[in-house]
Amino acid sequence: MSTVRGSGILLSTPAVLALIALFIIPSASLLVGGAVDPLAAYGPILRDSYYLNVIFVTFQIALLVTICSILVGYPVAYLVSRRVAPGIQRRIIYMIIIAPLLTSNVVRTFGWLILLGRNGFVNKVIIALGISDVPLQLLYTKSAIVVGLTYVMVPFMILTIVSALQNINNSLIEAAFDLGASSAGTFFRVTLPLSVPGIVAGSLIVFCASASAYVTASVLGGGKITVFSMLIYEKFSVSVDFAGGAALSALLLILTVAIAAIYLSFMSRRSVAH
Amino acid sequence: MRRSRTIGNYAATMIAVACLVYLLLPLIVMVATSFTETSYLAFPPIGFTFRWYTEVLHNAAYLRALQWSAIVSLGATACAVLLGLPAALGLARSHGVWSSAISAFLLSPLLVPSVIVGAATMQLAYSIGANGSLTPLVAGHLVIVLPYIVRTLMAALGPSTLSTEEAARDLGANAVSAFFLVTLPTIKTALFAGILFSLIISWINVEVSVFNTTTAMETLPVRLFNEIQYSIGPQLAAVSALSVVLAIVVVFVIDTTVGIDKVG
Repeated sequence: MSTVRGSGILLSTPAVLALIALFIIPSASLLVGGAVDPLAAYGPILRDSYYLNVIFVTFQIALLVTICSILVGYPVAYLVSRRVAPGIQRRIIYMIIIAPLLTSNVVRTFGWLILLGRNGFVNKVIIALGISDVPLQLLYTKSAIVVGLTYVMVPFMILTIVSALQNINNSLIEAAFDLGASSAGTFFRVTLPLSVPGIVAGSLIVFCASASAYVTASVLGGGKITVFSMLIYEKFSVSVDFAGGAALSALLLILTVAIAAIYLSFMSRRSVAH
Repeated sequence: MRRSRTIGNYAATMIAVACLVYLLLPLIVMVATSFTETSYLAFPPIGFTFRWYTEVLHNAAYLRALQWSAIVSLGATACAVLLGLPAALGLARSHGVWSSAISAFLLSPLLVPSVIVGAATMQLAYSIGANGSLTPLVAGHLVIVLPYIVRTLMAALGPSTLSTEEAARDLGANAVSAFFLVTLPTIKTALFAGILFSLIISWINVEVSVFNTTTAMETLPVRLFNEIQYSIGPQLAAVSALSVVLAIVVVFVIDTTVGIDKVG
């Protein structure tokens, strides 16, 4: 049987070779394309205030989306994992959370295009409530992108926090109640702190995904707001500036990998401490 | 466990329900708007008609895009299964540094923004003169769906599956029949789930496709993306509504086969 076990790894060779040929080599040559002459490729980017502004706007949006995803996602995660018993109710909520994930970003964003228009539903509500006398310009702003992107990202945040909440040992919560803590007290001093790893993991996923978002920003920004991925697409497909596109892609990749690395080292340090 | 009906508890549930409404709102809006009789997007919709659905189902550009999407998704998934199934089989029964490293490597595309996969694939295609052809498009999709196949299968190929297969071998079956008669039936649910995820991830992908498609060869999401920027109207709402309906159907399928609460 040892031959069966030993040859196990060999079975993965075709997959490994395929990934090297179709993923590693193209990505590496993409990065190298920017690194061959770094000054020529990165210089214009880092010196030009236009690019720096795009980077800043992208980060701003990603940060806001992450915060909003936590605010919207945590209550739903808490509801589905601790307040709703397993059964038909919980499964319906899961379906509501997961169904949008099975549609493309375009579809997920389109609903907001309809809602945020000058004559859209949100403006109708705003006027009906008397918040404003005229329709507000909601679309083609950073806020529109934040709202739409939050919608796209919230399911990921919910699922990550649910996972963390489900891993909390119930006896800890019961102990808090037995020791006289109130519902709110137990939540803020036991449940919430124990779910922080889930919030952190979800935030990293959402931040990275938001920073590299393309479709939602294009659609809801309407060309008035430019984010990083739009710049990459423009370099490759419009101005055919492969070197510039490669440099931008490298920046994005470095950011994503750095965040993942920070997270992994944070997590391994925690598990060593335990 | 005590569950006191405090205001705090009610408030928490109300906030959560409001958030769920936020999750449902765009889907409801798209489906409702697809029935409007106006030729602009009106929500709440004015009138009721199936006209936009008929137009969509007869729209040649959409039908072509549908075909291309099907070809790309099925092609990428098939390749991913051919590569990923042996890999998962092999890695699930190996231990040690190498197998962990290779597993992590096969899952690595999950960490990379798909715009980068798209751009890298496009650059590779240009360098070998294959830009605009089907192969780079399928290759890019293969990269992003392979991790899903590998991950789903490895989760199902636990020690109990392994020992059942060893039992079959001990009873005289050779490796091939042991796989087809014992292991495969055991993992068929996971294989089904993995194939479903792979098809969906590929079907809905925009970021990889937008770099590697042409006007002659467009996948459905890319077609939608272009339409949304140039000719917006209730037709788009109809297509989106169809996507939502498809998503709900798939979610039901996942729930009945695997159980939706086991997916998270």
